[in-house]
Amino acid sequence: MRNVFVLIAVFVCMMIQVPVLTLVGLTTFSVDAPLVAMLYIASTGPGVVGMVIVSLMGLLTDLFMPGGLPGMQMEILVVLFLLARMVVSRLQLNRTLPLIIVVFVSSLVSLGLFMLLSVIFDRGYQHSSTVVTGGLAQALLTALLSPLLFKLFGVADGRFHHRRDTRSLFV
Amino acid sequence: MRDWLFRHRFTAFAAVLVILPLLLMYVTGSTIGSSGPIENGTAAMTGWAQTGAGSVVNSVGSFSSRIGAVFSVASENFRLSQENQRLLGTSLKARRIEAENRELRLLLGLRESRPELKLLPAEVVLRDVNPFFRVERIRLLMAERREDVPGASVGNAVITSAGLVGRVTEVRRSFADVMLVSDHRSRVAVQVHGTGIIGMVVGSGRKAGFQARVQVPVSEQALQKDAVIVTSGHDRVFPRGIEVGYIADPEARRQVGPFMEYDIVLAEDPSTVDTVMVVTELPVAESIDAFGGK
Repeated sequence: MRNVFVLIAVFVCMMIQVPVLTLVGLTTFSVDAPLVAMLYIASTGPGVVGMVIVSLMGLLTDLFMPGGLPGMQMEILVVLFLLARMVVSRLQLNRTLPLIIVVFVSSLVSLGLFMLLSVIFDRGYQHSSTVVTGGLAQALLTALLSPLLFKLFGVADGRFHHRRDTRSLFV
Repeated sequence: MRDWLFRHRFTAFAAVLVILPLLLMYVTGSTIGSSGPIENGTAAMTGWAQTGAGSVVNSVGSFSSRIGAVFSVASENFRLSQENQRLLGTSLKARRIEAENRELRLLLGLRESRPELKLLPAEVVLRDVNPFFRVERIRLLMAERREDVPGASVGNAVITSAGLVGRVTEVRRSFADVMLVSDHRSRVAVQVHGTGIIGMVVGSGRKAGFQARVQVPVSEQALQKDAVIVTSGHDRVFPRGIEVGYIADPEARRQVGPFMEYDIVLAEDPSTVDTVMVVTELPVAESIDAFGGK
């Protein structure tokens, strides 16, 4: 139950991201909030429940991304979760720079998995350089905004436990 | 057995959660265009949620400015500014209604100018979420209401009074996903208006600008600036004579295999359109003519 508020925060992020990015004039970009949430869950609760929550989050993302195959983000997030739980314990994800780097690398792995799974399962998929550039733009913006998102998920998680996240954002 | 499962529960869950989406992708990948009841229900639910979220965020701007006004002016000024706000709001509302009215008149004009097409109005509820594909989600406004207009189905063309928008790739209850002309997977059979030169419009896939490319045989004469590209109807997907775009810079053409490729600016910018028409049925005569039949 402890990551339910994180799941809700991801849901809200996904619902408002397009209107908000349009409002600030960043229509060519998008943010992969579920990826950051997955890293948050992998670093705070890398058990079975965390994995199930991540899987549900992937399913939710699939429903919010018209044009893709249902199950694609679910698979990507679960695979990334399994990879992430092996390395996040060795990294200081409450520091800005390591977090940005980890999110950027995870986004690149996610892009690679997306292309691999599309080639295998999506009959309508055609490789294009725009897929790569779109994925890179998303990876860049997600990495830059990841400290804020991490903080947001920390607040959502802390609210559930009646405690506040006192970690500094830019330490 | 139970102890073994308990000891290895993480591995068991991991195996299930890795295999389950693979099966889901395998099933949905082999049945493109048709969706099950659960998928239909959840997609409709998210569609409504996205519509609501868009409305809420759009109203946040005006709400915050009104809050600011409350704390920054004196009582009399506040009253006057309220009055001013009300009048401005009324004016803005009138302008919005006027714009909506203009758009609806254009759509009505489209319906009257192409009476042979069965058209179904729809509003755009979601655009530009997917970083890889140029796909929009629309909500069909008259779904299951008129018996003389068939419901939307996969492959239907989506147009406006200005030109072609794309084609329907998924239909889920009253929501449908539309692959835009600018999607890199999109192919549209076209001709250059007034010249008889036929070709193919290929989406650029770029998120900004909503551009596409037209490919014509190398043997054809060079196209002129502002030459209008319209659908030829040869693909039996898009009705003939719908404007797709125009040649922006013929000097920037390049040869791609046996084709000469030109960049085109799309006639309809999907980032600004709010209401569209779904062509639910092509005229039979048109599709036969397209293949030179009688």
